[in-house]
Amino acid sequence: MATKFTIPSKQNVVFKYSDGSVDDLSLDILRVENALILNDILKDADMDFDIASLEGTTHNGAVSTWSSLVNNYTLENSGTGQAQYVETGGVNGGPSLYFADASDTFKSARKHLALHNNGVKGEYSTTGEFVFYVVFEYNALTDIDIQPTILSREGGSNQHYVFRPGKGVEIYGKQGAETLDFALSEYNKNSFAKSTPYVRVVRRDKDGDISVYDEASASMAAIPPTNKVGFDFGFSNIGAQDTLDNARNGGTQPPIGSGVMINRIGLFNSDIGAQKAQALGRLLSDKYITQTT
Amino acid sequence: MATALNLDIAQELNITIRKGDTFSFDLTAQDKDGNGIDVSDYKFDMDIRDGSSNDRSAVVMSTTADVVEGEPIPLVTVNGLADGTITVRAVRTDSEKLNEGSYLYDIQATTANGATSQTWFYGSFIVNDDVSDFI
Repeated sequence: MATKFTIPSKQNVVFKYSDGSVDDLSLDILRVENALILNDILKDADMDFDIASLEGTTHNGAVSTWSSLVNNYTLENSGTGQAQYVETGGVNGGPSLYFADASDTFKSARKHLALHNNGVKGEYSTTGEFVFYVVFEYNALTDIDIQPTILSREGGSNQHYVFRPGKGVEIYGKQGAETLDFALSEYNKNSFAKSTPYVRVVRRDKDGDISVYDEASASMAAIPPTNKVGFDFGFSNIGAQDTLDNARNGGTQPPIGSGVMINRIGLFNSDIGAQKAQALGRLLSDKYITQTT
Repeated sequence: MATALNLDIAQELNITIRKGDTFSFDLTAQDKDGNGIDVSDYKFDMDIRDGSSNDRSAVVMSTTADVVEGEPIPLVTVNGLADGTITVRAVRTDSEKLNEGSYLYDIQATTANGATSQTWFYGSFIVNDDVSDFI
């Protein structure tokens, strides 16, 4: 007789709740289903870089290629110099890819990782929907007031929004010479504690609205729908030690001593919806921060 | 003819776990349109108790740290998040302390200002015995 083993799934009880504010005080269980897990969401990503792909790389071990778990994207050492390396005491004490800041002459000599698609180097651009996610931690001497953020670049022929979890990792949006109605000032004041892991999920929906969610699924920021800018993803410069800050970011680079460590980063080229995007933040946190999966 | 006024919205949800296993499940709160309700400001309390007594000493697992008869009560965590997810979880070292048997539980939700408290779920909580010990 064959023995069949099945893995018990985490369960999710979906219920409808009304608190009485709309003439209805009710709570109804709608269904019991398998709970959403991280892989359910990430299977649809367009690129997905996981530190687990570099398993076996020793501390300070050079990384010349970081391959996406989906499709044929790779981040590859851009030159003949030293490659970026794995920090085994990275995000939440686990292994991460370390992107150094310019204060360390040894580390800053390392070359950035350039995005390749099927072996062809090039940036990743979209003018429509996307969801970007990153799990990161600053390796900083002090708390960081310069945040992973979306901000506008002032001046020049183009204005940009920039999302940067760390030096050299960014998304930037462009739109001619239009005035941008920018509403992220409070978010931009966030301080990020040193040696503390964070998750950020940036979502752009079909209307052009941008939302930012954190590791607890909370909404951190929203750009109003008047800002329907196109976006480029600066993966081609991931880990770069210069040029981005000066050329695109208006001098808002993180201070000296604030290298960033990343162990999951990727994006979807379509909107996955608010609920899934929020759940993605929570599930990434479960896996990499609270480790309760 | 009598008219009934029922303010009890609690729903019965019966739970079975295995002693010594980590248990974890989600409850997802949605509005009438199927959108997640932000429950991050709620405080959730869950007690699992021996049905034979209402005394605090009958509590076998709780979200509230407590000591009963000189022993800490095993803990379960219930956290509400912004996307409507309520995570319920206990680690195996705590579920290991439960005896095989049938218990009762409920989960109460209290608003951030403490003004409103409601029982959302209740039911049986059955612990199946295990064989292997975690070493």
